[in-house]
Amino acid sequence: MTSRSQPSAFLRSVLQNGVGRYICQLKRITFQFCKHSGQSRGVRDYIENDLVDFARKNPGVVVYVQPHQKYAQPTLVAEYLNGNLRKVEALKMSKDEIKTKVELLRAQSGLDVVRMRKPMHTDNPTIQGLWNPFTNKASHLNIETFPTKNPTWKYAERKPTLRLEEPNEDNTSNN
Amino acid sequence: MAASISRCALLQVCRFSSQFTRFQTKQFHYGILNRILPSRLFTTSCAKLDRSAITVPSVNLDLEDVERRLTLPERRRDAVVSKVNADIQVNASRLFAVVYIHRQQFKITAGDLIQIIDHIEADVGDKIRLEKVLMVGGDNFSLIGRPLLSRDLVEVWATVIEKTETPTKIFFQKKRRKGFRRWVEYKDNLSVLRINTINVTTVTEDN
Repeated sequence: MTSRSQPSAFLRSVLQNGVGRYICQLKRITFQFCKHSGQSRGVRDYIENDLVDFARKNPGVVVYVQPHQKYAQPTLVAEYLNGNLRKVEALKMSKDEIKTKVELLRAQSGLDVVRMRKPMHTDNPTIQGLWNPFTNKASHLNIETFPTKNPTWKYAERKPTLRLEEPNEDNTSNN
Repeated sequence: MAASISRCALLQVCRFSSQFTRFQTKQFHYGILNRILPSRLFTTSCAKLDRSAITVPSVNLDLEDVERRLTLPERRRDAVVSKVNADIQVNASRLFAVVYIHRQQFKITAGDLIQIIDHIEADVGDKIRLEKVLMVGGDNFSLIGRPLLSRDLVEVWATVIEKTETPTKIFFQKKRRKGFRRWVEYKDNLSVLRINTINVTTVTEDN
């Protein structure tokens, strides 16, 4: 379960969403449930109490309700503008849990939920220009020949720590 | 001058160290004073002081001179400010900003996407203003805040375009041969912002 073995992607949005107007990416949501099973009780409560409010607040989202015996284990099926489909099992969930789940589906973009490699995306990485070694250096260096007598920096002059006596002319020492 | 500094420092330290006479021994005096004053001859008590033995390099600290050098003369500052303001008004270049959100800093321009691993109160589609701006710049200028720029100077607006969850992460701990194993699956809230605009007003004394 390492992140290297799992799929990953770069941060993106669907069709430049947010640059102009924001558009809700949820296209259609379907509530598949059973009228009689106990596991569907939460879905039934949600449909009775909260579904109409949700539909009114989000006029761009198409809401379908599919009651059928085969949906004893209820699911929420969300379809998005980019064509992706997300199925969420809603069995044994309470009404409030289903409400938060539906809100989450509404706020998602439909892109795959995978690890994002970078927390940002930009089409304009540089504005003042990429750094190169001659940035912020004197422009005379462009026509300079190396080695130069006027370096931009140099090692500090080191003074000797020990001053050795220079030998006399006839190679004798004063000691 | 040098000797008076040394005696002054010595007396201050003696006053300080007297608080500790209950806990400290004479070793305390030696330690502190030997660090402050390079003394070759130091007797057992503070009172006996051989001034001739102690040498301290004299420090000429002209505070007025230092302050004069550190502060930019007003006419130079005004020249720089007027150049920056002219560039802001005339050369409408693409601006970048360094913004602080949720313990992270991002360098952003208009049209960027940002991901924050946190729940944002704003609803999807809402416009929010990012107020903690550390730096702003264009083609020919940069404004650096200390540490933040004034709210009147910069405006950064963003739209919340997505509020999801990260994929399931696993927090696993094990200590071998101890029967200790912990497997926790968790999901973090995730918010994606689209940066819409960055606006800079002219630089004045107030901002």
